[in-house]
Amino acid sequence: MAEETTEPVQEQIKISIFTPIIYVAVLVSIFVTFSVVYRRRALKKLTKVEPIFPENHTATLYEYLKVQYQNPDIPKDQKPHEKVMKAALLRRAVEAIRRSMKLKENEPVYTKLYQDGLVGDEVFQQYQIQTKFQELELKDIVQETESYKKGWVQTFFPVAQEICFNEALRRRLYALDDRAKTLSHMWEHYVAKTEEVNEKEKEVKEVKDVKQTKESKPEEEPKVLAESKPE
Amino acid sequence: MNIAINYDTKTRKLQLPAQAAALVPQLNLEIEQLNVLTGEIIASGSEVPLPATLETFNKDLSKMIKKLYEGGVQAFQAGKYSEAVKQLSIGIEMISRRHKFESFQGTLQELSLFLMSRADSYLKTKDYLKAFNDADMLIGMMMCTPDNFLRRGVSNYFLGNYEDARADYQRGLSFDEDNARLQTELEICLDKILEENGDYL
Repeated sequence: MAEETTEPVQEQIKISIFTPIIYVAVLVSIFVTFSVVYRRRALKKLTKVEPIFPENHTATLYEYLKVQYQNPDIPKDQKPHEKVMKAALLRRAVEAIRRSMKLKENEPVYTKLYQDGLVGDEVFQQYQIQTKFQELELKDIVQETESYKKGWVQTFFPVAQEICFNEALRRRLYALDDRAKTLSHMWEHYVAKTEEVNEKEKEVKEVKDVKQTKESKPEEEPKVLAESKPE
Repeated sequence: MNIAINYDTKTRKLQLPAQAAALVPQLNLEIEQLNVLTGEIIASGSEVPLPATLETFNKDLSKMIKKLYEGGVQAFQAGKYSEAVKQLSIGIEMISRRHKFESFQGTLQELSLFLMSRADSYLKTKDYLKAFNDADMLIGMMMCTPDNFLRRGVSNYFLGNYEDARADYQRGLSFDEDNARLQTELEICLDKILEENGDYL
């Protein structure tokens, strides 16, 4: 008996040459759309992060001056002088150095608090974004420096650091007067209290003295009372 | 920026309108500081500010500051403490008017000398709050100097902050445990604290 063997029939589906192309195109477009939407959302999220530092007036001022300095419509004699631009750039660098130092000072605090779970992701992310932003700010300043004088960047940052330290010292020096006022206001309360206590003690002592004098010499007029009598 | 900033081409200074200055005091302060720095760069005569070294430290100003210091010390030694305070305060003001890009280290050394002497003068004129402020700033500048702790401790003692005074004396003694003056003051302070608490030895 001959066995009937059935050979599997392979179905051949004919597809168009455009099908895989369309498939890839759809896949790519979905990926691109996802990427764009994701990035937009991430950017939106970033813009919502509250900066650690207040508004950077030095950077704003420099940008404002730079627009005027490079504006071809403004006559040359009315443009900000080059030294004004250099001073503005130095001040921008001073602020950038100050902020970078503050961030570096607080780095262990942020890390420790985050590791112990005492601050949330948002706060730590805020710190990381600020650190990254400061790095970019410093890079931008380096580029700006080179545009005024080639090779200035080598002496620029040491000078900016000296200015930063000197300004910090002066800020503390000028704060002394206000601080004295605050402290005197705070401590005057205690001084006044001590004085009140002393006065009460004095009164009690005077009364005791009077009593003692009365008991020992009833006929004599007490000295303290005699002194306090109005004429 | 929505606020218009005026630029004077002659003086090369920026200025905010009065109303805007009142609205944004921080920006106004920033503009003032920028004007100061611009003036200093122009006055320095070089294209860009030179790096801070001992050579770039203004020596004429150093001489004047030194004279004021010597005058202040002489007045102190002669017992004219108010006069000493005046001279030293002028010296401090002069130090703070040095160019911002001058050596920080040099400025710090000058300032610490003046603050030490002024704190001592304030203690003599019984201006304890001002003496406290100067001593406190000195401690911020020179952390390991026991004499500065003595100055702040004495100020705290006379201001009635006995516990703070004790802490200052003890911190000073941690840097110089054989300091006789600190030891004496600490004993007086501890007695006072006991007295305040209604106790005695």
